[in-house]
Amino acid sequence: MGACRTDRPLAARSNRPVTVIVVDAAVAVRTRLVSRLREAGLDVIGEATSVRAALELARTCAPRAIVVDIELPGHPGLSVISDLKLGVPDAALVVFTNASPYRRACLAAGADGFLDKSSEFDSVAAAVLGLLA
Amino acid sequence: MDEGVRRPSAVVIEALERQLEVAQRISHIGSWEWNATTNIVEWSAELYRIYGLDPGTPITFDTFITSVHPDDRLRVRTQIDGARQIGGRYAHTKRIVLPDGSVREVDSAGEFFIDANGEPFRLVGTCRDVTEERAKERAVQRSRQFQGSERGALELLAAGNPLHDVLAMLVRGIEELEPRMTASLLLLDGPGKRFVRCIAPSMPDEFSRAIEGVEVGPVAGSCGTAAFRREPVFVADIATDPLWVAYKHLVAPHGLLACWSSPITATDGRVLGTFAVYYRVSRLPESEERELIARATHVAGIAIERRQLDDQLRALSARIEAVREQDRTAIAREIHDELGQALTALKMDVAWVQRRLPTPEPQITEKLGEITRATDEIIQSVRRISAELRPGILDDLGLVAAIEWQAEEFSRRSGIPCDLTATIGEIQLERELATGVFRVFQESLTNVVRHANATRVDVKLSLHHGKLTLVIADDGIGVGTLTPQSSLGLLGMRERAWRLDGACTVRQRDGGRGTVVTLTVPLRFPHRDLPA
Repeated sequence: MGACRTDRPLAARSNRPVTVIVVDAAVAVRTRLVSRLREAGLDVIGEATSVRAALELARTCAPRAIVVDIELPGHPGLSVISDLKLGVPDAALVVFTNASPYRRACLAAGADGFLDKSSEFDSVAAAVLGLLA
Repeated sequence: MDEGVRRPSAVVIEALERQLEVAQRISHIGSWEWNATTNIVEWSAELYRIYGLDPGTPITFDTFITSVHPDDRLRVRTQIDGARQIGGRYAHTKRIVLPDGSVREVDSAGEFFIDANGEPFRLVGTCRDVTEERAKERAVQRSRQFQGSERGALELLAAGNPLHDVLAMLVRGIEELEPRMTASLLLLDGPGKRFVRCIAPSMPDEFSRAIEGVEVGPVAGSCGTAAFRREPVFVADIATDPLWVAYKHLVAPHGLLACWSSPITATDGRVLGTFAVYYRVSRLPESEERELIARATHVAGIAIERRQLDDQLRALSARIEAVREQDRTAIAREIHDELGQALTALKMDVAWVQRRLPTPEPQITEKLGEITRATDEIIQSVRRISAELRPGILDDLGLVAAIEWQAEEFSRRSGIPCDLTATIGEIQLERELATGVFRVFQESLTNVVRHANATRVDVKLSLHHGKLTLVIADDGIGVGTLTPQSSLGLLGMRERAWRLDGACTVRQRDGGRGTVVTLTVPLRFPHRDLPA
């Protein structure tokens, strides 16, 4: 975490790489998600456990997408979305969370996608790619 | 001595006269005789006593009629004249004014005797002093009348009406007994130092406003002094009494001359306020009036203390409920975060294994599928348990979003459509209020699933005149068949409403099947009609 990184050789990238930051305080889920996204060919260039850390990362890495769990300690619900949208307006914002009742509210608050953590983790990569296509 | 006619001796006559006089004195009955020819009136000794005159004072019809109370004089004269014209008897009640100015009430009866020419020549009559008797009758009647006010006040109290209404009923109850009396009830602040509320429905508002804020003390009118001394203070003349020097200007414009005040005390001896009776004549209360004031004071004490206990109980109950909600929120968070994330990771790992199976292995694939389904069920349980403990959406997105979500969940699980109309807009509700309304909503839906056998539920959330109203109507079997369990649920809803100073009713739907639960709560709470 912290600095941007890419573990794929430049030659392997087709066109522009799909750079992603994953923001999630739950380490067990985050590490698995990161592996899954990489398996699917996405370039996870950073991980963060708070909105503040994510914004700092985004300033140096300019990710094309951010995957975020809105349930971050000390950061109430929908302000996660508005704060990230404001700080990184060009990135696609995909909410990936167990807070399933918030789906409608998240989309209304500016999230570009919403995926249930427990039943839709296999669709995150596709959702990100779909938004950037 | 003549044979046949035996005249009583002078000794016997004297004895009989003495006997008569004693009998008259004991029974308060005087007698008199008027000779029309000589215009001489003879009174018995008791009659002189009743009229407050020295025995032997010469009496004519004029001395008699001028001692009758001016308001009764014409009536008495007319009645006597009428009886004189046709002869015969008359009887009446009248007031007489004694030389010392005191007024007495007497029952009189008289009979004219007519001579051979049809002319009245003699009028004989009796007169009974009924002053004490009538006063006692009136006292009994006033006591009964005031009993009605006492009962009314206690009924209002028991039915949970505002304390002001309860106390105003006592104040009016005293005033109705006597048109020259005006009453007021003052309530003290917690430490008992200062009057914070004046209940005087017959007085102008500025009077009450002037009293509110007055401090108790050794020289503070009748009420402030009574509260300070913890004993009744009866002032006969406000204009001259030193206790009233600083306050007489407040009551003088209203024609109030006397003020009798008694402290209202709690069972633990605290002074809660004072009950005062103002009189338009300068005088002190008689024992009957003291008794009535004591009764009003007693009932007022019961009402004030009871309402203070109510308020304390409500505050305590709200505190317990708030702590309970805090605990539930913490547990819900913990379950949701810890278990939720761990289960998600577990499920991801199973999916990872599934993807990496080198060759299709039907048995392993099937087992992994079972593990996934079991994990899903656990995840759903964790989410449900956590949301039931405390839906995070209520804290993050507010009441309407939470009710919307709960309605959807309800429909999804029960298969009963639930239609929500919310017209309260984007208002910020206090946590306690939002929680209470949400919990009543949850409890109502639970009742629908358990007991109603309904096919649809309509929910309305609205705001009128600073009051939030939630109506939950179903088309089920109605409330006619309440089980003890469901009535416990209803009790819980009522208690929640009470804590929020609102009301919750459950009734049969008008003209059809079903139950309607209506919850109404003020946005500002806990609302207290009077300071504790």
